Amino acid sequence: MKPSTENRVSRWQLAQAPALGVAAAAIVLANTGDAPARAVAAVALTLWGFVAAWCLRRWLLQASSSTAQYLQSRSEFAQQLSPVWAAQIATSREQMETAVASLAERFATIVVRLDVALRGTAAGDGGAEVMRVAFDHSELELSTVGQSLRRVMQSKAQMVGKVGELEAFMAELIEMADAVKRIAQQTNMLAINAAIEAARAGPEGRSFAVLAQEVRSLSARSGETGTGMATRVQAIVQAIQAVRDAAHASTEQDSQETLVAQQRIDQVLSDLRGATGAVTQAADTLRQESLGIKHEIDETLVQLQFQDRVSQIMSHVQHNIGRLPAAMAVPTSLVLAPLDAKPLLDELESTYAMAEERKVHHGDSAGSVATAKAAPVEEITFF
Amino acid sequence: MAKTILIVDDSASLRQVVGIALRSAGYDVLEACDGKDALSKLKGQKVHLMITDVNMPNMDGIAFVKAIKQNPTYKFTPIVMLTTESADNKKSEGQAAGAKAWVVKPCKPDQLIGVVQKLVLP
Repeated sequence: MKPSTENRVSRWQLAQAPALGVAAAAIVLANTGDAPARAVAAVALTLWGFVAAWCLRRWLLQASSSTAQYLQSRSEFAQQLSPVWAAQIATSREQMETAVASLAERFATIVVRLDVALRGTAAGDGGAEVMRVAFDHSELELSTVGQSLRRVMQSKAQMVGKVGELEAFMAELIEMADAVKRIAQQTNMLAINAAIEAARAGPEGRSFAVLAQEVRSLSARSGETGTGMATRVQAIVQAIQAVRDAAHASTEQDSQETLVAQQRIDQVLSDLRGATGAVTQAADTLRQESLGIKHEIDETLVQLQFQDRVSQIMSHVQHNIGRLPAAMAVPTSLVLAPLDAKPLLDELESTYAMAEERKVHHGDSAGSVATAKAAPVEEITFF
Repeated sequence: MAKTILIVDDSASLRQVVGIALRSAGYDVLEACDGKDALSKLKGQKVHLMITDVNMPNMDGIAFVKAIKQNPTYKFTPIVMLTTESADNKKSEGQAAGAKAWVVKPCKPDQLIGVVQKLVLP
Protein backbone atom coordinates (compact mmCIF):
# COMPACT_ATOMS: atom_id res chain seq x y z
CA MET A 1 0.00 0.00 0.00
CA LYS A 2 1.32 3.37 -0.91
CA PRO A 3 1.98 5.89 1.90
CA SER A 4 -0.54 8.47 0.52
CA THR A 5 -3.24 5.80 0.47
CA GLU A 6 -2.31 4.83 4.02
CA ASN A 7 -2.63 8.51 5.05
CA ARG A 8 -6.02 8.80 3.33
CA VAL A 9 -7.18 5.62 5.01
CA SER A 10 -5.96 6.72 8.43
CA ARG A 11 -7.51 10.17 7.95
CA TRP A 12 -10.71 8.48 6.87
CA GLN A 13 -10.50 6.27 9.92
CA LEU A 14 -9.83 9.31 12.09
CA ALA A 15 -12.74 11.14 10.53
CA GLN A 16 -15.00 8.15 11.00
CA ALA A 17 -15.23 8.49 14.80
CA PRO A 18 -16.47 12.07 15.00
CA ALA A 19 -18.59 11.53 11.89
CA LEU A 20 -20.24 8.52 13.47
CA GLY A 21 -20.62 10.49 16.66
CA VAL A 22 -22.36 13.31 14.84
CA ALA A 23 -24.52 10.78 12.96
CA ALA A 24 -25.45 9.07 16.19
CA ALA A 25 -26.32 12.36 17.82
CA ALA A 26 -28.42 13.33 14.81
CA ILE A 27 -30.23 10.00 14.93
CA VAL A 28 -30.93 10.43 18.65
CA LEU A 29 -32.15 13.94 18.05
CA ALA A 30 -34.33 12.73 15.19
CA ASN A 31 -35.87 10.09 17.37
CA THR A 32 -36.09 11.98 20.63
CA GLY A 33 -35.96 15.67 19.85
CA ASP A 34 -38.63 18.10 18.81
CA ALA A 35 -39.29 19.14 15.21
CA PRO A 36 -36.54 21.73 14.90
CA ALA A 37 -34.10 19.29 16.42
CA ARG A 38 -35.27 16.61 14.07
CA ALA A 39 -34.84 19.02 11.14
CA VAL A 40 -31.35 19.86 12.28
CA ALA A 41 -30.64 16.18 12.70
CA ALA A 42 -31.90 15.45 9.20
CA VAL A 43 -29.76 18.20 7.71
CA ALA A 44 -26.77 17.02 9.68
CA LEU A 45 -27.32 13.45 8.57
CA THR A 46 -27.71 14.55 4.97
CA LEU A 47 -24.58 16.65 5.11
CA TRP A 48 -22.77 13.81 6.75
CA GLY A 49 -23.88 11.49 3.98
CA PHE A 50 -22.68 13.91 1.27
CA VAL A 51 -19.33 14.33 2.96
CA ALA A 52 -18.92 10.62 3.49
CA ALA A 53 -19.85 9.88 -0.10
CA TRP A 54 -17.51 12.55 -1.38
CA CYS A 55 -14.65 11.19 0.71
CA LEU A 56 -15.38 7.64 -0.34
CA ARG A 57 -15.56 8.59 -3.99
CA ARG A 58 -12.33 10.43 -3.72
CA TRP A 59 -10.66 7.50 -2.09
CA LEU A 60 -12.01 5.05 -4.64
CA LEU A 61 -10.84 7.25 -7.51
CA GLN A 62 -7.41 7.47 -6.02
CA ALA A 63 -7.28 3.72 -5.38
CA SER A 64 -8.46 3.00 -8.91
CA SER A 65 -5.85 5.31 -10.35
CA SER A 66 -3.17 3.70 -8.25
CA THR A 67 -4.29 0.24 -9.33
CA ALA A 68 -4.31 1.26 -12.98
CA GLN A 69 -0.83 2.70 -12.60
CA TYR A 70 0.31 -0.50 -10.91
CA LEU A 71 -1.15 -2.70 -13.67
CA GLN A 72 0.38 -0.45 -16.34
CA SER A 73 3.77 -0.54 -14.66
CA ARG A 74 3.55 -4.30 -14.33
CA SER A 75 2.88 -4.60 -18.05
CA GLU A 76 5.72 -2.21 -18.87
CA PHE A 77 7.94 -4.13 -16.47
CA ALA A 78 7.37 -7.32 -18.45
CA GLN A 79 7.64 -5.49 -21.79
CA GLN A 80 10.96 -3.96 -20.83
CA LEU A 81 12.56 -6.95 -19.19
CA SER A 82 11.32 -9.79 -21.35
CA PRO A 83 12.96 -8.73 -24.64
CA VAL A 84 16.26 -8.03 -22.89
CA TRP A 85 16.24 -11.45 -21.21
CA ALA A 86 15.27 -13.13 -24.47
CA ALA A 87 17.93 -11.24 -26.40
CA GLN A 88 20.63 -12.17 -23.86
CA ILE A 89 19.61 -15.79 -24.06
CA ALA A 90 19.65 -15.62 -27.86
CA THR A 91 23.12 -14.04 -27.78
CA SER A 92 24.35 -16.75 -25.41
CA ARG A 93 22.98 -19.45 -27.71
CA GLU A 94 24.61 -17.90 -30.75
CA GLN A 95 27.98 -17.47 -29.06
CA MET A 96 27.88 -20.99 -27.70
CA GLU A 97 26.90 -22.38 -31.10
CA THR A 98 29.71 -20.43 -32.80
CA ALA A 99 32.30 -21.49 -30.23
CA VAL A 100 31.30 -25.15 -30.34
CA ALA A 101 31.19 -25.13 -34.14
CA SER A 102 34.70 -23.65 -34.18
CA LEU A 103 35.84 -26.23 -31.64
CA ALA A 104 34.32 -29.02 -33.71
CA GLU A 105 36.11 -27.68 -36.79
CA ARG A 106 39.42 -27.82 -34.93
CA PHE A 107 38.70 -31.37 -33.90
CA ALA A 108 37.93 -32.18 -37.53
CA THR A 109 41.41 -30.93 -38.45
CA ILE A 110 42.96 -32.97 -35.64
CA VAL A 111 41.13 -36.09 -36.81
CA VAL A 112 42.34 -35.56 -40.39
CA ARG A 113 45.94 -35.12 -39.23
CA LEU A 114 45.65 -38.15 -36.98
CA ASP A 115 44.41 -40.23 -39.91
CA VAL A 116 47.39 -39.05 -41.96
CA ALA A 117 49.75 -39.94 -39.09
CA LEU A 118 48.17 -43.36 -38.68
CA ARG A 119 48.44 -44.01 -42.41
CA GLY A 120 52.06 -42.87 -42.24
CA THR A 121 52.62 -45.20 -39.32
CA ALA A 122 51.18 -48.08 -41.34
CA ALA A 123 53.48 -47.18 -44.23
CA GLY A 124 56.32 -46.86 -41.75
CA ASP A 125 55.55 -50.32 -40.51
CA GLY A 126 56.02 -51.50 -44.09
CA GLY A 127 59.29 -49.61 -44.30
CA ALA A 128 60.46 -51.05 -41.02
CA GLU A 129 59.63 -54.51 -42.33
CA VAL A 130 61.63 -53.84 -45.48
CA MET A 131 64.48 -52.61 -43.30
CA ARG A 132 64.25 -55.74 -41.18
CA VAL A 133 64.36 -57.97 -44.24
CA ALA A 134 67.31 -56.00 -45.66
CA PHE A 135 69.05 -56.21 -42.30
CA ASP A 136 68.56 -59.99 -42.10
CA HIS A 137 69.81 -60.34 -45.66
CA SER A 138 72.85 -58.17 -44.93
CA GLU A 139 73.59 -60.15 -41.79
CA LEU A 140 73.48 -63.35 -43.81
CA GLU A 141 75.73 -61.92 -46.54
CA LEU A 142 78.24 -60.59 -44.04
CA SER A 143 78.22 -63.88 -42.22
CA THR A 144 79.02 -65.58 -45.54
CA VAL A 145 81.90 -63.13 -46.10
CA GLY A 146 83.22 -63.96 -42.65
CA GLN A 147 83.05 -67.64 -43.41
CA SER A 148 84.87 -67.08 -46.72
CA LEU A 149 87.61 -65.19 -44.92
CA ARG A 150 87.97 -67.97 -42.40
CA ARG A 151 88.16 -70.52 -45.24
CA VAL A 152 90.90 -68.44 -46.88
CA MET A 153 92.76 -68.37 -43.60
CA GLN A 154 92.42 -72.13 -43.31
CA SER A 155 93.71 -72.58 -46.86
CA LYS A 156 96.64 -70.37 -46.08
CA ALA A 157 97.40 -72.34 -42.96
CA GLN A 158 97.26 -75.54 -45.01
CA MET A 159 99.60 -73.99 -47.55
CA VAL A 160 102.04 -73.06 -44.81
CA GLY A 161 101.75 -76.61 -43.59
CA LYS A 162 102.53 -77.93 -47.04
CA VAL A 163 105.53 -75.62 -47.27
CA GLY A 164 106.68 -77.05 -43.98
CA GLU A 165 106.38 -80.54 -45.44
CA LEU A 166 108.51 -79.42 -48.42
CA GLU A 167 111.24 -78.46 -46.03
CA ALA A 168 111.35 -82.03 -44.83
CA PHE A 169 111.65 -83.17 -48.47
CA MET A 170 114.43 -80.63 -49.02
CA ALA A 171 116.32 -82.04 -46.05
CA GLU A 172 116.12 -85.46 -47.65
CA LEU A 173 117.33 -84.01 -50.96
CA ILE A 174 120.34 -82.44 -49.23
CA GLU A 175 121.16 -85.76 -47.67
CA MET A 176 120.83 -87.45 -51.03
CA ALA A 177 123.13 -84.83 -52.62
CA ASP A 178 125.67 -85.39 -49.84
CA ALA A 179 125.36 -89.12 -50.43
CA VAL A 180 126.09 -88.59 -54.12
CA LYS A 181 129.13 -86.53 -53.22
CA ARG A 182 130.34 -89.19 -50.83
CA ILE A 183 129.76 -91.89 -53.44
CA ALA A 184 131.65 -89.83 -55.99
CA GLN A 185 134.51 -89.34 -53.52
CA GLN A 186 134.61 -93.03 -52.68
CA THR A 187 134.41 -93.91 -56.38
CA ASN A 188 137.29 -91.53 -57.06
CA MET A 189 139.29 -93.23 -54.30
CA LEU A 190 138.53 -96.60 -55.82
CA ALA A 191 139.53 -95.32 -59.24
CA ILE A 192 142.81 -94.00 -57.84
CA ASN A 193 143.46 -97.33 -56.14
CA ALA A 194 142.53 -99.07 -59.40
CA ALA A 195 144.97 -96.84 -61.33
CA ILE A 196 147.70 -97.63 -58.82
CA GLU A 197 147.01 -101.34 -59.12
CA ALA A 198 146.88 -101.00 -62.92
CA ALA A 199 150.25 -99.27 -62.89
CA ARG A 200 151.65 -102.06 -60.71
CA ALA A 201 150.21 -104.60 -63.16
CA GLY A 202 152.30 -103.13 -65.93
CA PRO A 203 151.28 -103.54 -69.55
CA GLU A 204 148.59 -106.08 -68.57
CA GLY A 205 146.98 -103.42 -66.43
CA ARG A 206 146.97 -100.74 -69.13
CA SER A 207 143.31 -101.35 -70.10
CA PHE A 208 142.41 -101.48 -66.43
CA ALA A 209 144.19 -98.20 -65.98
CA VAL A 210 142.12 -96.69 -68.77
CA LEU A 211 138.99 -98.02 -67.06
CA ALA A 212 140.14 -96.64 -63.78
CA GLN A 213 140.75 -93.29 -65.43
CA GLU A 214 137.26 -93.28 -66.86
CA VAL A 215 135.81 -94.17 -63.47
CA ARG A 216 137.84 -91.37 -61.96
CA SER A 217 136.48 -88.87 -64.47
CA LEU A 218 133.00 -90.28 -63.92
CA SER A 219 133.31 -89.93 -60.20
CA ALA A 220 134.64 -86.44 -60.66
CA ARG A 221 131.61 -85.54 -62.72
CA SER A 222 129.32 -87.25 -60.16
CA GLY A 223 131.00 -85.29 -57.44
CA GLU A 224 130.43 -82.07 -59.34
CA THR A 225 126.83 -83.04 -59.98
CA GLY A 226 126.32 -83.84 -56.33
CA THR A 227 127.89 -80.56 -55.31
CA GLY A 228 125.74 -78.73 -57.81
CA MET A 229 122.64 -80.57 -56.51
CA ALA A 230 123.54 -79.74 -52.93
CA THR A 231 124.03 -76.09 -53.80
CA ARG A 232 120.71 -75.87 -55.67
CA VAL A 233 118.84 -77.77 -53.00
CA GLN A 234 120.31 -75.47 -50.40
CA ALA A 235 119.12 -72.49 -52.42
CA ILE A 236 115.68 -74.05 -52.78
CA VAL A 237 115.56 -74.76 -49.06
CA GLN A 238 116.46 -71.18 -48.32
CA ALA A 239 113.80 -69.99 -50.75
CA ILE A 240 111.23 -72.30 -49.21
CA GLN A 241 112.17 -71.11 -45.74
CA ALA A 242 111.76 -67.56 -46.89
CA VAL A 243 108.35 -68.40 -48.36
CA ARG A 244 107.38 -70.22 -45.19
CA ASP A 245 108.41 -67.30 -43.01
CA ALA A 246 106.57 -64.87 -45.26
CA ALA A 247 103.49 -67.11 -45.26
CA HIS A 248 103.64 -67.33 -41.46
CA ALA A 249 103.86 -63.59 -41.10
CA SER A 250 101.12 -63.03 -43.67
CA THR A 251 98.89 -65.59 -42.00
CA GLU A 252 99.38 -63.96 -38.62
CA GLN A 253 98.54 -60.55 -40.01
CA ASP A 254 95.56 -61.82 -42.00
CA SER A 255 94.24 -63.65 -39.00
CA GLN A 256 94.47 -60.51 -36.91
CA GLU A 257 92.78 -58.38 -39.58
CA THR A 258 90.08 -60.98 -40.12
CA LEU A 259 89.37 -60.94 -36.42
CA VAL A 260 89.15 -57.15 -36.38
CA ALA A 261 86.91 -57.16 -39.49
CA GLN A 262 84.63 -59.73 -37.92
CA GLN A 263 84.40 -57.67 -34.75
CA ARG A 264 83.56 -54.55 -36.77
CA ILE A 265 80.94 -56.44 -38.75
CA ASP A 266 79.40 -57.71 -35.55
CA GLN A 267 79.35 -54.20 -34.08
CA VAL A 268 77.73 -52.73 -37.19
CA LEU A 269 75.11 -55.45 -37.21
CA SER A 270 74.45 -54.90 -33.52
CA ASP A 271 74.04 -51.15 -34.06
CA LEU A 272 71.73 -51.73 -37.01
CA ARG A 273 69.72 -54.22 -35.00
CA GLY A 274 69.35 -51.67 -32.23
CA ALA A 275 68.33 -48.94 -34.66
CA THR A 276 65.78 -51.18 -36.37
CA GLY A 277 64.32 -52.17 -33.02
CA ALA A 278 64.08 -48.53 -31.92
CA VAL A 279 62.33 -47.54 -35.15
CA THR A 280 59.84 -50.38 -34.78
CA GLN A 281 59.22 -49.48 -31.14
CA ALA A 282 58.70 -45.82 -32.00
CA ALA A 283 56.25 -46.75 -34.76
CA ASP A 284 54.32 -48.97 -32.34
CA THR A 285 54.23 -46.21 -29.72
CA LEU A 286 53.08 -43.66 -32.28
CA ARG A 287 50.30 -45.94 -33.45
CA GLN A 288 49.13 -46.66 -29.90
CA GLU A 289 49.16 -42.98 -28.95
CA SER A 290 47.33 -42.00 -32.13
CA LEU A 291 44.62 -44.55 -31.44
CA GLY A 292 44.38 -43.29 -27.87
CA ILE A 293 43.98 -39.71 -29.04
CA LYS A 294 41.34 -40.74 -31.56
CA HIS A 295 39.39 -42.43 -28.74
CA GLU A 296 39.59 -39.25 -26.64
CA ILE A 297 38.34 -37.21 -29.58
CA ASP A 298 35.40 -39.59 -30.03
CA GLU A 299 34.46 -39.07 -26.39
CA THR A 300 34.79 -35.31 -26.82
CA LEU A 301 32.50 -35.40 -29.84
CA VAL A 302 29.86 -37.05 -27.69
CA GLN A 303 30.16 -34.29 -25.07
CA LEU A 304 29.99 -31.59 -27.72
CA GLN A 305 26.57 -32.89 -28.71
CA PHE A 306 25.28 -31.76 -25.32
CA GLN A 307 25.59 -28.20 -26.60
CA ASP A 308 22.69 -28.92 -28.92
CA ARG A 309 20.55 -30.04 -25.99
CA VAL A 310 21.46 -26.93 -23.99
CA SER A 311 20.66 -24.73 -26.96
CA GLN A 312 17.24 -26.33 -27.33
CA ILE A 313 16.43 -25.82 -23.65
CA MET A 314 17.48 -22.17 -23.87
CA SER A 315 15.40 -21.77 -27.02
CA HIS A 316 12.30 -23.06 -25.25
CA VAL A 317 12.87 -20.70 -22.30
CA GLN A 318 13.59 -17.81 -24.64
CA HIS A 319 10.33 -18.34 -26.49
CA ASN A 320 8.39 -18.58 -23.25
CA ILE A 321 9.96 -15.38 -21.93
CA GLY A 322 8.75 -13.71 -25.11
CA ARG A 323 5.19 -14.62 -24.06
CA LEU A 324 5.54 -12.87 -20.69
CA PRO A 325 4.46 -9.35 -21.79
CA ALA A 326 1.21 -10.76 -23.20
CA ALA A 327 0.56 -12.62 -19.94
CA MET A 328 1.16 -9.46 -17.88
CA ALA A 329 -0.68 -7.03 -20.18
CA VAL A 330 -3.18 -4.56 -18.66
CA PRO A 331 -6.51 -6.38 -18.33
CA THR A 332 -9.41 -5.04 -20.32
CA SER A 333 -11.93 -6.09 -17.74
CA LEU A 334 -12.66 -4.08 -14.58
CA VAL A 335 -12.57 -7.28 -12.61
CA LEU A 336 -8.95 -8.03 -11.77
CA ALA A 337 -8.09 -11.68 -12.09
CA PRO A 338 -5.00 -12.97 -10.28
CA LEU A 339 -1.97 -13.81 -12.41
CA ASP A 340 -1.96 -17.44 -13.52
CA ALA A 341 1.37 -19.05 -14.54
CA LYS A 342 -0.27 -22.27 -15.67
CA PRO A 343 -0.96 -21.30 -19.31
CA LEU A 344 2.62 -20.18 -19.78
CA LEU A 345 3.96 -23.26 -18.04
CA ASP A 346 1.73 -25.56 -20.07
CA GLU A 347 2.85 -23.85 -23.25
CA LEU A 348 6.47 -24.22 -22.20
CA GLU A 349 6.01 -27.89 -21.34
CA SER A 350 4.49 -28.56 -24.73
CA THR A 351 7.76 -27.56 -26.39
CA TYR A 352 9.88 -30.00 -24.38
CA ALA A 353 11.77 -32.74 -26.23
CA MET A 354 13.93 -34.13 -23.45
CA ALA A 355 13.24 -36.06 -20.28
CA GLU A 356 15.35 -33.74 -18.12
CA GLU A 357 13.27 -30.75 -19.24
CA ARG A 358 10.15 -32.49 -17.96
CA LYS A 359 11.90 -33.46 -14.73
CA VAL A 360 13.00 -29.91 -14.03
CA HIS A 361 9.56 -28.61 -14.97
CA HIS A 362 8.05 -30.74 -12.26
CA GLY A 363 10.63 -29.74 -9.67
CA ASP A 364 13.29 -32.44 -9.96
CA SER A 365 16.34 -30.27 -10.71
CA ALA A 366 18.72 -32.90 -9.29
CA GLY A 367 17.35 -35.39 -11.79
CA SER A 368 18.43 -33.16 -14.68
CA VAL A 369 21.99 -33.02 -13.39
CA ALA A 370 22.08 -36.74 -12.86
CA THR A 371 20.75 -37.28 -16.35
CA ALA A 372 23.38 -34.97 -17.80
CA LYS A 373 26.19 -36.62 -15.89
CA ALA A 374 25.06 -40.12 -16.76
CA ALA A 375 26.43 -41.92 -19.78
CA PRO A 376 24.92 -40.64 -23.02
CA VAL A 377 21.61 -42.21 -23.92
CA GLU A 378 22.74 -44.77 -26.44
CA GLU A 379 19.21 -45.21 -27.69
CA ILE A 380 18.99 -46.58 -31.18
CA THR A 381 15.78 -47.91 -32.62
CA PHE A 382 15.51 -49.56 -36.00
CA PHE A 383 12.15 -49.61 -37.76
CA MET B 1 34.10 -43.96 -54.87
CA ALA B 2 32.99 -42.65 -51.50
CA LYS B 3 29.30 -42.72 -50.64
CA THR B 4 27.47 -39.49 -49.87
CA ILE B 5 25.43 -38.86 -46.76
CA LEU B 6 23.15 -35.85 -46.24
CA ILE B 7 23.08 -34.27 -42.75
CA VAL B 8 20.10 -32.05 -41.95
CA ASP B 9 20.27 -30.11 -38.67
CA ASP B 10 19.77 -26.48 -37.67
CA SER B 11 22.82 -26.68 -35.38
CA ALA B 12 26.06 -25.97 -37.24
CA SER B 13 28.12 -27.50 -34.48
CA LEU B 14 26.09 -30.70 -34.57
CA ARG B 15 26.56 -30.93 -38.33
CA GLN B 16 30.31 -30.48 -37.75
CA VAL B 17 30.44 -33.21 -35.11
CA VAL B 18 28.48 -35.73 -37.19
CA GLY B 19 30.49 -34.74 -40.27
CA ILE B 20 33.74 -35.54 -38.44
CA ALA B 21 32.51 -39.03 -37.62
CA LEU B 22 31.24 -39.71 -41.14
CA ARG B 23 34.32 -38.38 -42.94
CA SER B 24 36.58 -40.43 -40.65
CA ALA B 25 34.64 -43.48 -41.78
CA GLY B 26 35.25 -42.59 -45.43
CA TYR B 27 31.94 -40.99 -46.39
CA ASP B 28 31.39 -37.74 -48.26
CA VAL B 29 29.06 -35.34 -46.47
CA LEU B 30 26.40 -32.91 -47.71
CA GLU B 31 24.98 -30.45 -45.14
CA ALA B 32 21.67 -28.60 -44.84
CA CYS B 33 20.30 -26.43 -42.00
CA ASP B 34 16.66 -27.54 -42.23
CA GLY B 35 14.26 -29.58 -44.35
CA LYS B 36 13.66 -26.82 -46.87
CA ASP B 37 17.37 -26.18 -47.32
CA ALA B 38 17.94 -29.92 -47.75
CA LEU B 39 15.33 -30.23 -50.49
CA SER B 40 16.87 -27.30 -52.36
CA LYS B 41 20.37 -28.77 -52.11
CA LEU B 42 19.47 -32.28 -53.18
CA LYS B 43 18.32 -31.48 -56.74
CA GLY B 44 18.91 -34.99 -58.05
CA GLN B 45 22.34 -35.40 -56.41
CA LYS B 46 23.15 -38.99 -55.56
CA VAL B 47 22.79 -39.55 -51.84
CA HIS B 48 23.15 -42.95 -50.18
CA LEU B 49 21.62 -42.10 -46.79
CA MET B 50 20.09 -39.11 -44.97
CA ILE B 51 20.45 -38.13 -41.31
CA THR B 52 17.99 -35.53 -40.07
CA ASP B 53 17.08 -33.77 -36.85
CA VAL B 54 13.41 -33.47 -35.87
CA ASN B 55 13.03 -29.99 -34.39
CA MET B 56 14.10 -27.49 -37.05
CA PRO B 57 12.74 -24.17 -38.31
CA ASN B 58 11.08 -23.77 -41.73
CA MET B 59 10.56 -27.51 -42.20
CA ASP B 60 10.93 -30.00 -39.37
CA GLY B 61 12.35 -33.49 -39.71
CA ILE B 62 9.04 -35.35 -39.91
CA ALA B 63 7.80 -33.09 -42.71
CA PHE B 64 11.12 -33.49 -44.49
CA VAL B 65 10.91 -37.28 -44.37
CA LYS B 66 7.38 -37.19 -45.75
CA ALA B 67 8.48 -34.87 -48.55
CA ILE B 68 11.44 -37.10 -49.44
CA LYS B 69 9.24 -40.18 -49.61
CA GLN B 70 7.16 -38.38 -52.22
CA ASN B 71 10.24 -37.81 -54.38
CA PRO B 72 10.79 -40.71 -56.81
CA THR B 73 14.56 -40.08 -56.85
CA TYR B 74 14.94 -40.48 -53.10
CA LYS B 75 11.95 -42.60 -52.25
CA PHE B 76 14.09 -45.58 -51.26
CA THR B 77 16.96 -43.65 -49.69
CA PRO B 78 17.19 -44.68 -46.03
CA ILE B 79 16.63 -41.92 -43.48
CA VAL B 80 17.90 -41.86 -39.92
CA MET B 81 16.35 -39.49 -37.37
CA LEU B 82 19.05 -38.05 -35.09
CA THR B 83 17.31 -36.08 -32.35
CA THR B 84 17.02 -35.23 -28.67
CA GLU B 85 13.44 -36.48 -28.74
CA SER B 86 13.00 -39.84 -27.07
CA ALA B 87 9.24 -40.01 -26.58
CA ASP B 88 7.52 -43.05 -28.07
CA ASN B 89 4.84 -41.00 -29.81
CA LYS B 90 7.51 -39.05 -31.67
CA LYS B 91 9.25 -42.26 -32.68
CA SER B 92 5.96 -43.58 -34.01
CA GLU B 93 5.61 -40.39 -36.04
CA GLY B 94 9.02 -40.91 -37.53
CA GLN B 95 8.33 -44.53 -38.34
CA ALA B 96 5.00 -43.64 -39.94
CA ALA B 97 6.67 -40.96 -42.04
CA GLY B 98 9.14 -43.50 -43.39
CA ALA B 99 12.30 -43.24 -41.31
CA LYS B 100 14.45 -46.36 -40.95
CA ALA B 101 16.04 -45.63 -37.58
CA TRP B 102 15.70 -43.32 -34.60
CA VAL B 103 18.90 -42.28 -32.78
CA VAL B 104 18.78 -40.16 -29.63
CA LYS B 105 21.46 -37.50 -29.20
CA PRO B 106 24.13 -37.57 -27.93
CA CYS B 107 25.45 -40.76 -29.46
CA LYS B 108 28.93 -42.15 -29.85
CA PRO B 109 30.48 -41.71 -33.30
CA ASP B 110 31.21 -45.40 -33.72
CA GLN B 111 27.58 -46.29 -32.93
CA LEU B 112 26.25 -43.78 -35.43
CA ILE B 113 28.65 -45.20 -38.02
CA GLY B 114 27.33 -48.66 -37.17
CA VAL B 115 23.78 -47.52 -37.94
CA VAL B 116 24.92 -45.90 -41.18
CA GLN B 117 26.81 -48.96 -42.32
CA LYS B 118 23.80 -51.12 -41.60
CA LEU B 119 21.40 -48.97 -43.64
CA VAL B 120 23.45 -47.21 -46.33
CA LEU B 121 22.56 -48.04 -49.89
CA PRO B 122 25.14 -50.17 -51.75
